[in-house]
Formats: sequence, C-alpha cells, structure tokens
Amino acid sequence: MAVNCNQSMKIAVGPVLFGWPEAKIREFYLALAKEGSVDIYYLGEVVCSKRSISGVIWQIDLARELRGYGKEVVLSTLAMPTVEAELQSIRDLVAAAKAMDIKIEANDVAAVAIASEAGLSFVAGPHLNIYNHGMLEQMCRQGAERAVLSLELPAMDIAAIIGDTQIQVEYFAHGKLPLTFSARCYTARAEGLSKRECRHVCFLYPDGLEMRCLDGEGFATINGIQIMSQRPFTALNHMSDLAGMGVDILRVSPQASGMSDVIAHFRSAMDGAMAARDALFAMSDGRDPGSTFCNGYYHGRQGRLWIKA
Amino acid sequence: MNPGREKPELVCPAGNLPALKAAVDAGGDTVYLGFRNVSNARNFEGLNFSREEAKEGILYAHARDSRVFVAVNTSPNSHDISPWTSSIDMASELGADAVILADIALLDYAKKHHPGLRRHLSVQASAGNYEALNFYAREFGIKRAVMPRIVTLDTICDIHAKTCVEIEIFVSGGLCVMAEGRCWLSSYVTGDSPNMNGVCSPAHAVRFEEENDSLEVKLDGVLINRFAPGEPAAYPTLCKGRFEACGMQGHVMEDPYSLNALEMLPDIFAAGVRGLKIEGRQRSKHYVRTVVSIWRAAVDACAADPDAYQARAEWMTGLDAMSEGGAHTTGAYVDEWR
Repeated sequence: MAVNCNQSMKIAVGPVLFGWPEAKIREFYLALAKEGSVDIYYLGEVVCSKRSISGVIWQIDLARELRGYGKEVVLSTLAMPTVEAELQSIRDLVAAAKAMDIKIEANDVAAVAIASEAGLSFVAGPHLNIYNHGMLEQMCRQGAERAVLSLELPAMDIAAIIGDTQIQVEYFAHGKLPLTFSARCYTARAEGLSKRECRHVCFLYPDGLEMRCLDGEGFATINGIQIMSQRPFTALNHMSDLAGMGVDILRVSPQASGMSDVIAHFRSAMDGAMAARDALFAMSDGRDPGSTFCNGYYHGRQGRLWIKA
Repeated sequence: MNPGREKPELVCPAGNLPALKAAVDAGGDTVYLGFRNVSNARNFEGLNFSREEAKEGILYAHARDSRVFVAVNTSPNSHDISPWTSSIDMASELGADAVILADIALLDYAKKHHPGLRRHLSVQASAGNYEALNFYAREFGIKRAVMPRIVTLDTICDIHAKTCVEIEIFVSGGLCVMAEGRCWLSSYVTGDSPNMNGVCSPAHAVRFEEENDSLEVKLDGVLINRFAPGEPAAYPTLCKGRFEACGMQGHVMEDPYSLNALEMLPDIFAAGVRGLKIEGRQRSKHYVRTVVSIWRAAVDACAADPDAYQARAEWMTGLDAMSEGGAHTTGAYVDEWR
C-alpha cells in the first residue's frame, strides 16, 4: 500500500488550455463534478482572448453551477493581456469572484495588480514565473494564498522556494506543458491563415495540433498562440515526494479525452488504494510510461524527456 | 506623462569592451551590458564583462556623454541568490546609469539596497500592458520598461498614454517570436532556459551533421533544421527551425528574419517611445559599429524632420547585410505579422 501522507493532498483540474466550444467546456466540468473526485476547479480562458466568443459571463455562470456541487471554484485569467478589452475581462472576473467570495488565478502581473487593489485573495498562477522564495513572498504580500510555481523548475527546488511562507502550493502534475506564448497564432499559420482572420481554427484541434521534426519524430503541440509539450507531463509516481516537499495540491490539466481515468488514477494513488507506480503503469495502459509521458522538468532535465525514478 | 516628441534614446548592445567602445563611437546614446555570470539573459561563452572591464567601459561611455545600463535579467534560484545581488551591487558601485531587472525578488532587492539606482523592467518580465507597468512602478519604482515583442505599435501608443513608465522597444536585430520570459522551448529541448540559465538554444547543444548532401542541425539530438547545399545557415535558434505541421514542412513558428523597424520610425516617435533598443550583445564590434551608425543617422534624420523622413535604401540594405537571415520583418508591431 502507498504511504498515506498523500491523503491530505487535493486534486485540482486546471483551466482548459485548448480551443473548446463553450458547450464542450460546460459538459466537461459538469461531468467531473458529478463524479465528485476533484477538489478544486479552475476555469477560464488563459491562452487566447479571441476564443471567448461570448465574453466571461458564461464562465461566471458555470462557476456558480460548479459551486453547487460543494467544491472550490477558481476563475483563471488570461496569461498575456495587452489591450483594454482584455484587461477589462480580468476586472470583470475579479468583480465576479469578489461577489461570489471565490479566488481568481492570476496569470499575469496585471491580474495581480487588479486583484490586490480589489482586496481579493488570489492564486498566483503558473505563468507568473515564480522561481524563488523572494518572488513568492512578494506574491503573498499582494494577497496570494496559493501559488503554482514555474513549470520548468526542478522539484528539488520546491522546498527551498516555499521556505517559511504560509502559502498553499499547487504543482502542475499532469497534462501537456504550456511552454510558450506569442503574438502569433501558430495554428492559424499552419492552416495558411492569420491571427486576425483565424476563423477559430484551433477549435478543430481539441488536443492541439501535432508538430513534428523533419525526420518524423514527434516534437511539440501547437495550441493557437502557444506551443506545448508533445506528450503529457506526469508526476503521478512522485506524489509522495511532492507531499514531502510541502505541495498541497496536484493539478491535472484538461485534455479532450480520458480525463476521468487520469483523475481516478491520481485519486486511488492519493487515497492509498493503489501504489503510485502501479497507478502510473495502469495509466500507461501497461506500456513503458516513457513512451507516453514526459517528466524531465521534475528531475531538472530536458522537459521533453522521461526520466525513470 | 512623457512629452512624446522628445528624441528617443538609442540603446545599443555590447558583449565586450571593444563592442562598447564601437557603440559609443558610432553615436549610441546608451550601451547595455551584462556581467560574466548567470545573472543576465545573454550568458554565452566568451561574452560579457568582468568587473574591471565594466568599470573601464562605464568610464569610457561617461567621458563621451553616453550612458550604461546593466542587465541582471534572469531569475535567481533559491539556493544562492548572490550572483544576482552582487551583480546589482557592482552595477551600483561602478556608477551604472540603470539596472535592467526582470525578477520581482531582484526589483525588491534593488529598491531596498540601492534606492538611488534607476530601475528598468527587462523585456524578460514580459509586461505588455499598462496595469502591469503601473504595478511595477508603484511597488518597485521602475522608471522604464522594455516591451515584450507581442504588442502592436497601436497598443504601445495606448500603453504610453496610460502610464508614467518610459517605454523602450526593440527596433533592430534578432527577433524573439515568443513573449520573452514566457518561453521554455529551450529548456524543453536542452535543459537550459533563458529565465534560469540566461541562454536559449545554447551552443554546447548544437551539432551540424552532413546527411545525404544536406546539412542537418540538431539541438541536443533533436533535428531542428535541414539546409540544402549552399543554403546559408544562421545560428540555429529553436523557434526559427524547420518542422512539420498539417503535412507541410517549413518554418512552422518563424522565418529566419531579423527585426528592422527603420521604416516605422516616425510612428515610433509619435507613439512616445523613449528608448530604441538594438539587439545583439552576442555580435561583433563590427556589427555593433555598422548597425549603430545606421540607426544614429536614421534617428537624427527623423528627429530633424519626421514628415520628410524616409528609410534610405542604403540603410535597409546595410542592415539586411548584417542580419542573420539576410531578410527583415517589422514583427509584431504590425497586425499582419500575427
């Protein structure tokens, strides 16, 4: 049986990073809510404001509905706001979160500023680049009650970064890694379109668009203005180590299919119903996990690699 | 608010003392540099300044009415922050005119320990909106910010109107197509990143291999480009490699072009931009002298008569000849690039 120090950990589902229609997003979250294995739901458009066809109202409505299941809901904000309309969407989310007494996830310093001014506590998101204790302390001073550290950090740095701060730490534990943001839409470019006339072509790729090397080897995933890892990252087998380092919450990042199974594997490892390595083996359909997942960043190595523990 | 019609300052790169002198002699208003350690985002082998070299460079620049900014723009780890803090201390002690910082822990350090030292926000902080700039100004007293290369010139105009922070933009040289500071492609492939190690697509990971008459470029064993015989091959930066998507092979992320905003200069002036930044701390003194001379002439011509200003053909060909891909783009400053 697995060691039960995992049992106080929680499972979070991150915001959907891909271009999904609103109906699919609703269906995805509500199905998970009915299953009841997830403790915290993040929702909101993080990658591209052009995807939010009907603004943020529907996200706020969905947040209310999810809260009805008795779980925590966090509204995630856009990672690279530049224009007024994008900043306004952050203000709208902050106002809604305040009215509902929930948190936002700040993915840009603009959101830190807006939440802090509104006196709203927030989650310092993975795109704020928290690499050290000093940055984490500054986020606490601004009102952060939880932080997701930079995804490229080696796990061995986590304890030193947390230090004596009284903050919850969430770790991006499963899913395709969001590696970049750009002004350019690479999905549109691959389809011979421009970002301005993108026709929401990213909606055709609910798990992103495959990008290969010229020798045919898999390389990465194109997700609109973002490049992601080719394979999902997973730290399922390092759950106990992460708990020992002071991590409170494990984040699972949504993909188009199989999420219910992924969450079930995390849940059974966390509850001690299954050893983490067995859960990983099951999640890999009995194959070598290295042919399905990557975990290099956990070990301070190339992010694309799988390093055997 | 900034007056807006003031002549912007030409901010020039120097990876060593001869390049610094070349930049100053060619009419650079300001030179930016980094120390020879992990603290700056151009932590390349054989590049950057020792304490003594920086001291001499600052004296040389100040004697000729030029200024020197010191970039300390990577993020410290939690094990040993001293390479970063000692770099800030040294910049202050040597009389640098500003430090260019990205990490909030370092902004806080500089504010507390060197309140009189001017603080600029590095492009690596990826602050592309006025709420972020005003936050950095309020909390950490930044006076200037270098814009990430994701904003259009129209947006820069709008940002300028809503902040007291001076705006600096890249106008020439290598072009990051991702938001600086928010790109982990290099560590994904090689294990070394701009934010943590100050490198992108580092030279130690690059291999050129002859394969069936073509030249293959591998980065830590990953094939990132293939050149036909005789085709010019620039430094193999990951995002400018050739890949395959949707069944098509080519430059999936970005063509190997350099940024050149010469033709937009009157609009840049009108947008109230305070600093015009030339990329290229890794380039030679010859490169620095040539590029700075062209930009000096252009900025002076535009300041003298913005309505009559035109980017001269010899300036454009001069810059193209120095650029790595031999071709140029105005990048994200115009919407069509996206």
